[in-house]
Amino acid sequence: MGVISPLGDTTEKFWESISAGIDGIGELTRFDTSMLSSKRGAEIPAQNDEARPHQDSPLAVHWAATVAEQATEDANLTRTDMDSQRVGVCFGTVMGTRSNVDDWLLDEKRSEDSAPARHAWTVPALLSREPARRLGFDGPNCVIATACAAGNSAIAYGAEALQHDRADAMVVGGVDEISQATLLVFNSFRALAPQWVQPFDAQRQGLMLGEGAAAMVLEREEDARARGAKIHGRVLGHSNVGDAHHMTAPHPQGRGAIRSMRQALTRAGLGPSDVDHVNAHGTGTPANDAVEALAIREVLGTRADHVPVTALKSMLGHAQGGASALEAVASLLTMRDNLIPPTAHYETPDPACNLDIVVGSARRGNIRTTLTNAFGFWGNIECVVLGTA
Amino acid sequence: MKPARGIISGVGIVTGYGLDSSSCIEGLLSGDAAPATRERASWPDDFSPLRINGMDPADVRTSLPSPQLRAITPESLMLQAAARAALADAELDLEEIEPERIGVAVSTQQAGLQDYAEQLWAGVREESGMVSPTHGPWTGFNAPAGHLGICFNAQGPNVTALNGAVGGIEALGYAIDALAADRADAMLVCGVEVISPAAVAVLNSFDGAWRPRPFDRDRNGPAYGDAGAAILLESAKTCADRGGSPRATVMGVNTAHSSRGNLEGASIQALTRALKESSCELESVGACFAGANGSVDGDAAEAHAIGTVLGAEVPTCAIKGGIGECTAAGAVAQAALAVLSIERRVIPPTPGFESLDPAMRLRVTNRPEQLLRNTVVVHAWDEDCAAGAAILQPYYGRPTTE
Repeated sequence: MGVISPLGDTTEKFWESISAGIDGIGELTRFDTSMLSSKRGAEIPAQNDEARPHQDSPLAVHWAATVAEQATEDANLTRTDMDSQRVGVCFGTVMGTRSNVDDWLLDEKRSEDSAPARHAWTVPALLSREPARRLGFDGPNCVIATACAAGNSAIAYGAEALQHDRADAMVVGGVDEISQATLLVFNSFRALAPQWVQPFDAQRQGLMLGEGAAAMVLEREEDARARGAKIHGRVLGHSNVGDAHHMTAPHPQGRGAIRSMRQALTRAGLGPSDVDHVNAHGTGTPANDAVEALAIREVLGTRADHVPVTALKSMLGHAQGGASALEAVASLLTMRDNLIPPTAHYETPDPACNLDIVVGSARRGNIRTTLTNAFGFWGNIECVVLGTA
Repeated sequence: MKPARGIISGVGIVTGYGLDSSSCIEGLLSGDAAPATRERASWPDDFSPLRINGMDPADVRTSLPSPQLRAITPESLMLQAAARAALADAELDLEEIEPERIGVAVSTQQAGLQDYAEQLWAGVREESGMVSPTHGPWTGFNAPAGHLGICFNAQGPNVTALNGAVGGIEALGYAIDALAADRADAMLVCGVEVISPAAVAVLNSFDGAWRPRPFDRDRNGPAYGDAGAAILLESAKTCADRGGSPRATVMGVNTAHSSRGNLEGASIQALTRALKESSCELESVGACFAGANGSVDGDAAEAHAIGTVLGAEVPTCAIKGGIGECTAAGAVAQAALAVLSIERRVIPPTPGFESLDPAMRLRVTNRPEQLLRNTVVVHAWDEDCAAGAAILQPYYGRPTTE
């Protein structure tokens, strides 16, 4: 596994922070925020920018390549281990390399000057191609844009590539950086919380943008065991569905969310009674959290009273395409340590979100199966079921 | 694992030739490129993309279910038109398929870029209040696919691939997997690209030509074009149950990428694997729909790869000589035209092609030719050393999901 986040640039630093309930949200520094209703978000500290081998490249490309390197190192997977044609890369994203065109687009409107060296990095496919270049992997290579479900979609893509024998190993993950245009768009939605992100809380006022990347190496279990790899967990099931309801709002009865969770569990050969923990999408917006809570309760039934739910966006902000990948890594670490990170800033229960929210501090439990939810604009939904090794 | 296959029962193509697939194939058969349009004075002197003329946004807008959705972007407008044409071509009433069993897989590279640029401009150069909450969601790459899902009430898998010119092959592969795994009964496989002012600004870093000349000795770069293309892919059972008419079968799909910058190698890998997956004999290949766009290096690499895998005598046509380099829409358009080629038993000429580059050994079509064999290969590539291939055949009435 590999992670770059506002709360740490390694998997273990990330895990230490979120399991301690540390909030990664602060004042945004990379942009002029004077025109925004909220000037806060979860930025990755600037020192990570300086390590970029190509200074013209978008941060997202650098982060994707970095977490891919971390993940392959963690997996003890080098290019000499396998046929390079059999190792692929897939990242999910919302905005891709689009932030890299910000400065230049604005400049172009003024002067029509061009900056070809910078333009070469505007191709979104680079989010998977650059990591593959750095690692020498020539297998399946794809970038998936299923909005904020994209990290989970990349995990699903990797699992399918293994299942269909198109690869022996896949580096999969999600990545996004905060861009000025994205901030402006969310500001226009009046969706930005003023101070904190409070998923499932009765006082929740919205989300905050975050950024980051996470990756994991997927292999067939027998292959991983045969080469003595340390196994962090298993992808048991996944489901991509379209809500087909509205460009930003979820279906009020949670139609797509319910179906995706159920399908992912069914494909995992599991039922509601097998779910030990839900890592929620939990953005902190009134609409999302109420519908997600309704959907979780519909899927888990009365068991929802006893299944601990956490929402990491309370600490990480909404890392967009990186979010569900970060949450998937956190879920694997949750199962490794039997420790569920808390949902920060949760104070007032909302009757519309009647779930067992993990609050205050991390909670101990015997966690063998985790359902990780991811929902996006335009009704993109991808839920994944993860299990222990 | 047995090969996963799917039935193509409808195609829709919106290009500079016109708003339907017939105008596109007829335009290509004429040997002329679609008309180039110099739309904006601010565009570079040597930039004149192959634009779509005559598309009336009102025709599409009025059919949309929600007023909010009528703030539609050119990408979604074009995708709607292509997808609706594919459904009409397949004679499919969407009510014949459960909403949860029909999905969408879209390939794009620039979708939302113009809205992204405009929101940025409005917010930074004017004031944040000028940023439109209605337009904001359209800044995402997934907007065309999501919009299609909403308008068609398609609640099955919904995915957008950002793999450049290879993305259409990736979308096709995703759809075939969805059918094979019984996650859907039908998938709309689409590609869309629009030459917006913002896209022009991005594309301006590349060499462009007024007229593309794929595989030609005098080629000097691609000319960019708008396109939307859609294919309705179904399981054999779904198509049979509803009395649909299969048009072609997708026998194999594969993609490849070279981390060492070897486009020819990636193309050889993709073609070889797709053929192997299809179990089709090399001798059965009657045509190749190539991705060549007039690029000096890219066309050369593709020509060598096709020659190596398929042989130098397979008739090869490059539709981007006619419709322009429509990046992520290209492969779906190529596949849709391959279906029409199979049906009409004709291979179009390559607009812009006159004399083969002497460094190539390839039979490039320069006039309409009869399709003499049943297997048609679609090959796509992009400059970033990625490639993909799909193998199509006529439908022979045998089960396609074994």
